[in-house]
Amino acid sequence: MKHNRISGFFAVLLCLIILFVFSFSTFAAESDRNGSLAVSFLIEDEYISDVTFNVYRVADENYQPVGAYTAYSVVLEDLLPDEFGPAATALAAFTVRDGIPADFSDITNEYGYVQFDGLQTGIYLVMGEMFTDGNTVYNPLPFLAMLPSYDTNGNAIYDITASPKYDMWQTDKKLERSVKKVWVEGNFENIRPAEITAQLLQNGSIADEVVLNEANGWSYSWSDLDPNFLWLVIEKTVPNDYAVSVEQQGTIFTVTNAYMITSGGHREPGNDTPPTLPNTGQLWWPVPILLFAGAVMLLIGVSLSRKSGKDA
Amino acid sequence: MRKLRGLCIFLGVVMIISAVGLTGYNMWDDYRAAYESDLMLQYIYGAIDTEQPEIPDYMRNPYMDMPTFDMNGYLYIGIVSIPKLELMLPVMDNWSDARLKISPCRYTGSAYLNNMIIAAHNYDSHFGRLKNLEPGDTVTFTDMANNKFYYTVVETETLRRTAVEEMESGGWDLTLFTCTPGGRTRVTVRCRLADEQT
Repeated sequence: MKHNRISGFFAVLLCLIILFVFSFSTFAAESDRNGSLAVSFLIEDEYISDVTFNVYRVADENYQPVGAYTAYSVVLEDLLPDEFGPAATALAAFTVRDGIPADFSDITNEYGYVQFDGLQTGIYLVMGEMFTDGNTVYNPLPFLAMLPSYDTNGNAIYDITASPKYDMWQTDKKLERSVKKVWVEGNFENIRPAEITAQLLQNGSIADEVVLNEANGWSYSWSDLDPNFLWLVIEKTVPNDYAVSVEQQGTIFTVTNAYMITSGGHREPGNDTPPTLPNTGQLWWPVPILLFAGAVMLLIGVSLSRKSGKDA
Repeated sequence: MRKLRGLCIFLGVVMIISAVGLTGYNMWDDYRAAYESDLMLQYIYGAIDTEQPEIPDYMRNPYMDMPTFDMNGYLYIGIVSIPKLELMLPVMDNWSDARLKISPCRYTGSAYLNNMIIAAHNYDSHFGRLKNLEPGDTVTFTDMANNKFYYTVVETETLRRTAVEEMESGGWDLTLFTCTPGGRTRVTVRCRLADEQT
């Protein structure tokens, strides 16, 4: 009986070891798997050929920056869907400013399609080159692609296709660009730098630098810009302990610095107070209090008047 | 005694005038918000793209950004309609305190990903009557590409103002929220996509 129990124990242990090794092998195989990224570029349902797209691997599968991108304080972990665009815009500006070479580069075919194969897992920045057609300039907007991505069932997708958005403007009209600085720091406002420097980039070259501070409302505008160039705005140097993102809405670049703390080896927004939902209420609660208190004060005052009248 | 009497009456008058003044400001602010929303609505109607492809773009790529319309430096993503409350309001792309004073704003999410959350002030002309919605009531969202999303109200709940995670959880296709009159909690309406959608 005792011999049977010992044998049974080792049999179970052996099964667990085999199961563990098999699972680990499967996981390792998945991690080593390469993928592909395809770009389908259309403008108003028309395929656009001969557009150059450059692909840069900016982070690994754990969202940690790699290569030249370790120098930039752009957080890629736990991004909400509407935060990918601002992260991509910030990284794109840093890329062109500092001349980071692309990992992959190719042009779209007659169907507006280009595919990049053999990509290792990670996060990629995809940037299309600006081009002119007649009097109109088209600029594919940068975007981030995660490899693998995941469907709603949690299945990994190693062959992804993206259709970038684009910006466009006319060549017969001067451009305007504005920068607005936004700070996100909860109760850490006291450590905010007194000023920061914003850079206006002209096809990646620094065309101007301006200081933003409280005196100028943390904003600045440029006008009469040549429409034949791509104009971007970025922060010259991100303050320590802050992460940057840039959101372009029309002609306005909102450069957001979010105060970050390192917790458990990961950077996350620092905040002394718990986050709250937006305040969407009008100030009504003082009304009944003021009315009641006012009425009470009046009654007291009138009562005192009557009392003094009787005493008189 | 005379001084105390005078002080009480003075303070009483000041407080009542303050209450009346605050009421008047709030009413004016509500009227202003209604005017600005109606004005924006006209521009947005004119900007909505009436030509639709056979297969909407968002069905090819639900992760695409929602198309926007730029008006006065603010970006709008569409129109939310709540027939029971006789509301038809523009919705801005992102929220901020300043934007919320003009129109409802997308708090987070996307109609294409069935997780959009829209916030608005509790003006009577915005989401002030949200609490009157009941299960079965309908809500429609129209994006700038003229794609219409039809929703049915499933439930209404009240969340603390710090319940950020709860607001974004639950897998609801559409959520609408605004402050309760005291401002400490949020009236939250949860919706699911109806069967009919274009």
